[in-house]
Amino acid sequence: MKKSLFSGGLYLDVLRQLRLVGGIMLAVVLLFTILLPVVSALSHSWRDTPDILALTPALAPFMYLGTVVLVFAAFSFLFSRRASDFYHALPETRLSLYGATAGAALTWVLGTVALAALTAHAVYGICGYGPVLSDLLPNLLGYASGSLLVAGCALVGVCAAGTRFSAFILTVLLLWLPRYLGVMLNVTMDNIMYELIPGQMGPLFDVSLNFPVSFILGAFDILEGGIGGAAGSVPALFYSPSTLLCTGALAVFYIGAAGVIFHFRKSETAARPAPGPVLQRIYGGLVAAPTLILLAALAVVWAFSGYSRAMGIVAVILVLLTLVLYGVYTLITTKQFRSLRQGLLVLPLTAAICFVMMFGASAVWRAEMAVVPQASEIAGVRERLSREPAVYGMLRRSEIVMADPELCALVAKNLADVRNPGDDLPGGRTRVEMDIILKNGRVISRRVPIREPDAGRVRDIIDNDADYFAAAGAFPEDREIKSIGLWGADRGGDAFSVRFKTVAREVVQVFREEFQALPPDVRVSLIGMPNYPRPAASMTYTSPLNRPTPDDAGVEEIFGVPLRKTRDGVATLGVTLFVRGVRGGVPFTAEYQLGGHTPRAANLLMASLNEMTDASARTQIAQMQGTPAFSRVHGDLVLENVPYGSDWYRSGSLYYGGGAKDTAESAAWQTLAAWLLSAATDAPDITKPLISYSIVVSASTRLYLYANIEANDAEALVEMAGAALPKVS
Amino acid sequence: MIEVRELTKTFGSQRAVDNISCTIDSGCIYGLVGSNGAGKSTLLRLITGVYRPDAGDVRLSGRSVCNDPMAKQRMIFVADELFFLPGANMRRMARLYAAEYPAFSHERLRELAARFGLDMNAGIQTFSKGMRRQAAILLSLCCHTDYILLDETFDGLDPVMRALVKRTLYEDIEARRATAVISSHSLRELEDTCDQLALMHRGGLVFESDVQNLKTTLFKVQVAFSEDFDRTAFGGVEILSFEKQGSVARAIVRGDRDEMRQRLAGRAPLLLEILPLSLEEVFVYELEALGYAFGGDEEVEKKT
Repeated sequence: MKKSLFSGGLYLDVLRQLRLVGGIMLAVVLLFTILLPVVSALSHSWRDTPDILALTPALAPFMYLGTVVLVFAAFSFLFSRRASDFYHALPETRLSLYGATAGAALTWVLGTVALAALTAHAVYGICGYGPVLSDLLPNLLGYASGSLLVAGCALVGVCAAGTRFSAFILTVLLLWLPRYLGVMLNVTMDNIMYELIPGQMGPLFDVSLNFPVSFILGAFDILEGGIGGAAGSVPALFYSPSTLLCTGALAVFYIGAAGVIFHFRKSETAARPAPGPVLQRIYGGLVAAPTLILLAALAVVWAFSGYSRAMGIVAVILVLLTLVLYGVYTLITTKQFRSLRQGLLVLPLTAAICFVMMFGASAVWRAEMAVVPQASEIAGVRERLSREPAVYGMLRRSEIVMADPELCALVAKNLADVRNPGDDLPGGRTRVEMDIILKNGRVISRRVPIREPDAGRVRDIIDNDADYFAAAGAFPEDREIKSIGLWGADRGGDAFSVRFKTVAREVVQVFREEFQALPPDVRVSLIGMPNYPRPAASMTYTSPLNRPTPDDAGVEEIFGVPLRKTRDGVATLGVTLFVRGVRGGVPFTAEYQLGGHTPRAANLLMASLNEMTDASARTQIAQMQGTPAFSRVHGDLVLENVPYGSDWYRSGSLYYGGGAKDTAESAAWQTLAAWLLSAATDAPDITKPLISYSIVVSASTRLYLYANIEANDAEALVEMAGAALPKVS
Repeated sequence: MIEVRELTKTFGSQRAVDNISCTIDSGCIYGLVGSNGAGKSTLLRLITGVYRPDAGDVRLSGRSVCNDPMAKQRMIFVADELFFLPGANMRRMARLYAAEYPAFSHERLRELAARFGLDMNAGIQTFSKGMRRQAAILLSLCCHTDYILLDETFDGLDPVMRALVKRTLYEDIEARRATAVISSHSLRELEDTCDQLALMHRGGLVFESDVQNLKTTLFKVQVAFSEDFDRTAFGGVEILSFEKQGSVARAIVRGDRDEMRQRLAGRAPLLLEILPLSLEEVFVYELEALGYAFGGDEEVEKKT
């Protein structure tokens, strides 16, 4: 039987050998994967489609620890002479021995990832958190590629070293050192050439291309703030094709490289920290590399920005730390003091390499900074997305290329001011992150420092660009949406309960039709975005202790009820349509205000919510009227849009009841409640005078209703509402 | 047939195997003897492909062993330091062997385990040192390979078990016409076992010969004549050692025993005894003849 590359029999045997450790880890991962949605479902009625990170959180520690444990367990024979002799005596080629052993370990790794992902999606689906299937593939690919990369590093580690300690150190270094270098390059560049945007200088600088490393950096918020790369948040990693592809390619490379190392490895190096003295010193150099890279980065900053005493102290500390790291590693692995002396030459060599890399990179940055296009060379500019998760409108805006000649001229002019890194630029500057698209097709990304007189003009041009403006009012496409919710639809209750999911889906379809037919300025007024004023509908859910007063801007007190005029008489419901999704690999959120500008959607929502209310509660509450039991009843009223005089007004939430008995307010509350119970709740229409109210006896007996009132009844209602309000001392 | 050609292996600055060439015929039991650190284990590991040689080659019936699973499948190696899968019993180990050696026989293993009184379901870590060695030997025998290489195999075995193991080994070898290579630092261990013996020292193959030939061609002669005599009295035979005290001479001679007896008897000796040598004595005298001197504790040094 020819077994040159792979041995099926040995593969099955190693698979069996790993069943204890693999089985335990699989069980732990599946346990957490199943428990999370089940406990969540039992704890509350929230059913929001989970964020991709929340699907299989147990796979994150598995990706780092479980993978390494499995690889080390499979190749444990390389750490013992007798075990190594046994395996190398088997009738296998080196490659088939490696292939079967690595294959078995990777089978456990990928099997755990796949089972966890499938189980999570199934359990979340069963518990009513659907739909989640659209995230199955990104979830699977993300953790699979990340786990394979960690496994690849571990495979190189075990093949290149003969002890667990050395193999582990090599694994960590192989996984982290290249991206650590990328991070340090970005940090250094960010310090001395702030106009350049980290992560945009090539693959080495884009930390996000390494999934497991970016996962950790993102968890500690290190991906953003100029350090990361294309993907600024951890969820975005799952949707980024470049991240997944690069991670997968790197994994394949490392797994292959480990096979080559294994093939040439001398079996007698088992239980030795390194195959030979030269490699032992190289490994020691690698251990010292992180601090030496930091030292080199300091040197570059020093060269560009000048010396400071603090830098000197840090440099000394770094040198000492380097010696300590190298010394500790060498002593642990060789257990000989003379090895310290013999291998010291590797430190200056490693330092030299680090310095060459850092200063070489700074030369590249200088060359990049020297690219200062003329206005005539610029085809257009695009404002870059500055934060994640993005607001949908901002995401769409970041796709708009603006070709205004004046804008291009202003950008070119201000960019030309910056000739040398670290220049002190006169006057106040506003830095705008931009992609500058040149006519030759090249795209350069810069933080353009725009002087103050020009900054305002740039902002005006951008804000008034018709496409840019309209992009803010875009609505996500169906295929981009992961979850939708209705905040405020249940008076602060479950915006994502199962019953609301059906309503929300229907409302979204109608809302989209109406929304997209609106003029751009109206659309923009209905969305929640930075730098855009929200509609004046924020008077909901004010607590009784925090009731607006006439001192607040725009608030009038009528019959003791704080009211604010609605904009143009158009009602705005205290319900926000919340959308979460992914576009082009970038996660986004979006909020849209429901109201009179989208009457069909608003009416559909109100009618649906009225239908959900328990009709028997109305009867029960009516029966409690006039009885002492009514003292338990409490509620709230929102005058969504009622006429008074020549204007239309809106209130916040007005709270009633549940307080002292036998007061004038409690009697007035009973009167008000009786009036509310008689209001018409069939087919509420937002274009007519509208109120919403809740009357609550207990968690199981309550009404939440929208109702229209006659315009003639508005004044009387406001008076009743004011009379029943508890007096605020 | 195992052909070893100019095999060399170095660990750091130490040459463990130094340009060794030898041939191990099929069907023989080949003994490899030498002091600690002589290179026996290294040579066995080179033959079985555990180590890669720095120079030279090992061929099994004309096929290079290095990285060749077909060749390695015809060999089984029982190392001096044994390895078993963690927590495994003999059945578990048998599954691994069966996956690697298609001719592995579970039935034969059950039979041998019963003969040796080993519980196949008990964890091997619960076995004594000797029982573990028995288990390793039995598992390897059940692979039914053409070549069996055993490194200091009989260590840790009591005399009774040692005899049983040897007998089982011979049965197997004879039944399948297998070839065995057994290393030991004890000549006595190999004396009654092997067809051929080789002595290693400091990585080199010092001496190699057929055992029977060794025992019969080398012998001790004690002779006394009435007249004065010296070593020329023995004629043209090869004399490895000659010592005369008074009129009695003791010589270690290589040649034909009967012919020697006739020659000396023809001179009417006062005393004539022709005595066989033990294998140890054979080796000592052969080495001396090659120029090696003995220090204490069986240390062998090449005379300059």
